[in-house]
Amino acid sequence: MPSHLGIRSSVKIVARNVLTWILRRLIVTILVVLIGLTLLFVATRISPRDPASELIGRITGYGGGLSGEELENMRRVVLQLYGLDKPIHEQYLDFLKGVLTWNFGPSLAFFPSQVQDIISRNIWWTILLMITTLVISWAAGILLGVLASYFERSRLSKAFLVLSSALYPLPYVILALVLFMIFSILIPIYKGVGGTGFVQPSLSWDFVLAVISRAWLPALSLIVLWIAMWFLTTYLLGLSLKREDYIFYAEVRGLSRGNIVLGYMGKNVLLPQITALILNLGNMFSGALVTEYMFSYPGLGYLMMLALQRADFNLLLGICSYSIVGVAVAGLILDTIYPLIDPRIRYGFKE
Amino acid sequence: MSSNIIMKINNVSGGYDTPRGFVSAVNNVKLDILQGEILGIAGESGCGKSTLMKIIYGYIKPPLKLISGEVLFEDKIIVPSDEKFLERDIWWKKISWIPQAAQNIFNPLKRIIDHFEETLNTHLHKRVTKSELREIVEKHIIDLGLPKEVLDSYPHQLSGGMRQRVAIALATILRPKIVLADEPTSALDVMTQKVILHLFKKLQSTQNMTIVLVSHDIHMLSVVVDRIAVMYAGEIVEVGSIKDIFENPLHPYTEALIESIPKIGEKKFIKGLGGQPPNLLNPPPGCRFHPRCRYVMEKCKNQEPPTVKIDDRIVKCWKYSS
Amino acid sequence: MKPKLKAKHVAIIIFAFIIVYSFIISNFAPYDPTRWNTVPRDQPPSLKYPFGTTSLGQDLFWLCSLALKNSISMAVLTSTIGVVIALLLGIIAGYVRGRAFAAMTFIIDSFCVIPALPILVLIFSLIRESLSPLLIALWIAVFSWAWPSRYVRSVVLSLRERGFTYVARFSGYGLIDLIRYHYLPYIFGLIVMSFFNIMIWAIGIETTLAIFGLISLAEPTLGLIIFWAMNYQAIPRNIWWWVFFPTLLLILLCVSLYFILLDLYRKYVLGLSQ
Repeated sequence: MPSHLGIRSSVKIVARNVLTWILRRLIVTILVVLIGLTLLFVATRISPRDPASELIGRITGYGGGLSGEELENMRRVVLQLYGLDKPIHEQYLDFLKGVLTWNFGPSLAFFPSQVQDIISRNIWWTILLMITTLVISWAAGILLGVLASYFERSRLSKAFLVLSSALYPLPYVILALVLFMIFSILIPIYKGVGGTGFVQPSLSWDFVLAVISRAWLPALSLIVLWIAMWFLTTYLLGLSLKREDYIFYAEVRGLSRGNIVLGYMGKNVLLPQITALILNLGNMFSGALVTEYMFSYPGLGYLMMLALQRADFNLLLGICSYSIVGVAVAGLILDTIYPLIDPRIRYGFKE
Repeated sequence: MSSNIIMKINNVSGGYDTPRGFVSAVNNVKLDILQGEILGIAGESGCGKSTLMKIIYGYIKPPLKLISGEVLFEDKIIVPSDEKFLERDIWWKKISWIPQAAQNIFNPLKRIIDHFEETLNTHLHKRVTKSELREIVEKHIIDLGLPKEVLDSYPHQLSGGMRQRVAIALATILRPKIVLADEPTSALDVMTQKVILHLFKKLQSTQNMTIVLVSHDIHMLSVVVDRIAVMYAGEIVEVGSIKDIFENPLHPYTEALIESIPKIGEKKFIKGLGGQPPNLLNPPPGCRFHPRCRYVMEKCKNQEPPTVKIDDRIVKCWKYSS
Repeated sequence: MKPKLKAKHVAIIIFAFIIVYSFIISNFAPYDPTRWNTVPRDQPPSLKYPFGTTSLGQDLFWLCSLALKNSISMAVLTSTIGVVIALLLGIIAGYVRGRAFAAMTFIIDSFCVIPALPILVLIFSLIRESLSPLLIALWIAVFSWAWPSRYVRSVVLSLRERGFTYVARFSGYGLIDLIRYHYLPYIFGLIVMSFFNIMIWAIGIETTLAIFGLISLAEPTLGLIIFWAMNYQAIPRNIWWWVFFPTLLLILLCVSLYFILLDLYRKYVLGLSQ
């Protein structure tokens, strides 16, 4: 009997499909990083004036009290950094080389500390904040969105819809301000703003509590906005998914509500939402930075604030580069989850 | 084939609430379904066949509304009734549904065996182990002529015809008494159609299953059904055996339908039926077919014709009653 | 159907008030609201000064009115530029096939992934001295088009697959004509929606940059007012109104715009699928 199936489920085929997928995503990620860095490079060269003297001028303007020798050091470093005597494409290559070797030069504000060291210390705070808030809000938003879209007519669903629609368009700064005013002034329970020294990491309850007391409000700020975002996108997706034939068929088979909501709608909403997550990482990361800035949470956002205050151009450049690479890599990691969930990648697209 | 009536559809009327008004998709349908028969419901697109199926099954969700009438299964009212009752006792166990061939009825992220497992787990009231479940499903699949490798594949790995055959297997796994099939072979190639029709015949003969086949393809129906009900504009206009319908159609619409089927060797010029099916938002008064009927009389225009029994046939037309 | 007071009606009313307050009322200011020391400092809201006064001696009511106008104007300018870019790239991306399609998709998706804010912070810290409204709008627009153009691309893709494109092409329609007669009716709704979309985002970005102190214009925006307030320690000093009213106005602006956008989405997008 002729086989209509063409199933090739041998392990070798699966492995080949998965590896091809990952390889392709890897190449895309590298290209994206390249584009981002090029954009960054162009951005640094847009000022019509000589960035070196401009920087020096700004630094001396801020904190006079640098001896002539220190000034000379800085001037030399800056000139070297930008290689302004070299032709532009060489500058570009030097820039790329710097990023690839993870060398961003010295921080101008914390001279002579290296930018990459400063960032490495603080980035864990950002990563901690982002991962916890992201996981919570993505999962919660999707769950609520699926439920609300399946039970479209329930009053709770409509209430959530209106609430999310009111929260989603708010800029991160505004929500941060509002929450700050509520929890610092109206109900003064939030402390920990005011850039005092960084708490030394240690595995003790004190440390954990210190982190939490510092982090809960910025985390709340992010969670509120992100749940709204993921709820809305999932809800809209769920509405169209509901009309699919396989949902109808699940219902006529008498399957339980739980199975339909989770196993049918939930599962099928997951894939596009992972893609959406990857694409939105840049936005979400920016939002986290801004929120950190507003609450002086000791992550990259806080560093960004310091860099702006002290005209530390190198630090800014380092933060930007880290952001571009970090977001792209995070996206790649999420990409690798894909084949685990989508059987069409494992077993090849048929027809 | 016993002449026991397994399902009675009593004067069922229903339709859809739309922003532009109420669409009367099914009007006063009275139909008896005999145990163990294959009944075909023939009609053009938009005549209300799918709506009738949904009502019979009890899958009535807004904007679909049941206006009047009831459906009895084994002399018990199943429509209208509580959805919980239907889910628990009727759906899939007593009555099941085979979807249109073109529809994507399988969850793209679950294997075929998962679909069977979840269906069985939902409806079986005793705990069955996974391997026992698999045995049951495999036996059933093989019985219906499908290779058991199908169970481990994902829906996208199967062809349309294979998917439809799996759908039939899924619909019959609990040995329901009645299977409703909505356009089960449209969009499939002729060879697969033949296989599927054979499957239906086999189900009827080996398990005494009652099958209701809905289709616009009266020719396909004629290959396998025992009786045909002809539907037009939401009404059943004629019911009879295959032989009777084809050789001696009573209702003017059936007449035109049969006439339009080309027969091999015939060189006659085929006349089509003029006009269009009525707009069900605002159906014509009286007999819904009267604007296109070649035998139209005055009373057809304002009185709904009664359903009349002639021998073992049924027809809804003023020609056959006084 | 009984007329109900729906969210979108409330949104339109609020938005109308905002427009009136910013574009019309601002013209009636009795004094230049940006100048310092025109009114007594640090006055809480009262009948005389409905929004209170700032530590710089400015009347917050008139100041906000002007700033709101500027915020909106800036967003409109940004959105216009962004929509043009998004449309152009989106249509091209949806229309081409094969390698070109892959390349365009890649470019658009890259711009979606790259985090815009840090780069904008960098750029604005460099050009801080030579800012003008046009330049600000331009730079923000450069990062604004990616998401809307994805959307344009998907609509064009689905349009392309429809029958009438093939028929039109086979009967000799050129690309420009095709766009003009067949696509544009669908794309109109798209344009309006993308416009509002970018506007909301642009307001957010501009406000953020202003609060970071990167936008130093003579003409104030709401973000700039908040920046000054924070700089002058308004909150610790209990001059809460200096932060409260610009924030409130921003919230009303963003939310009302978004509800209008949602309504447009329901009309154009869900309507398209029917």
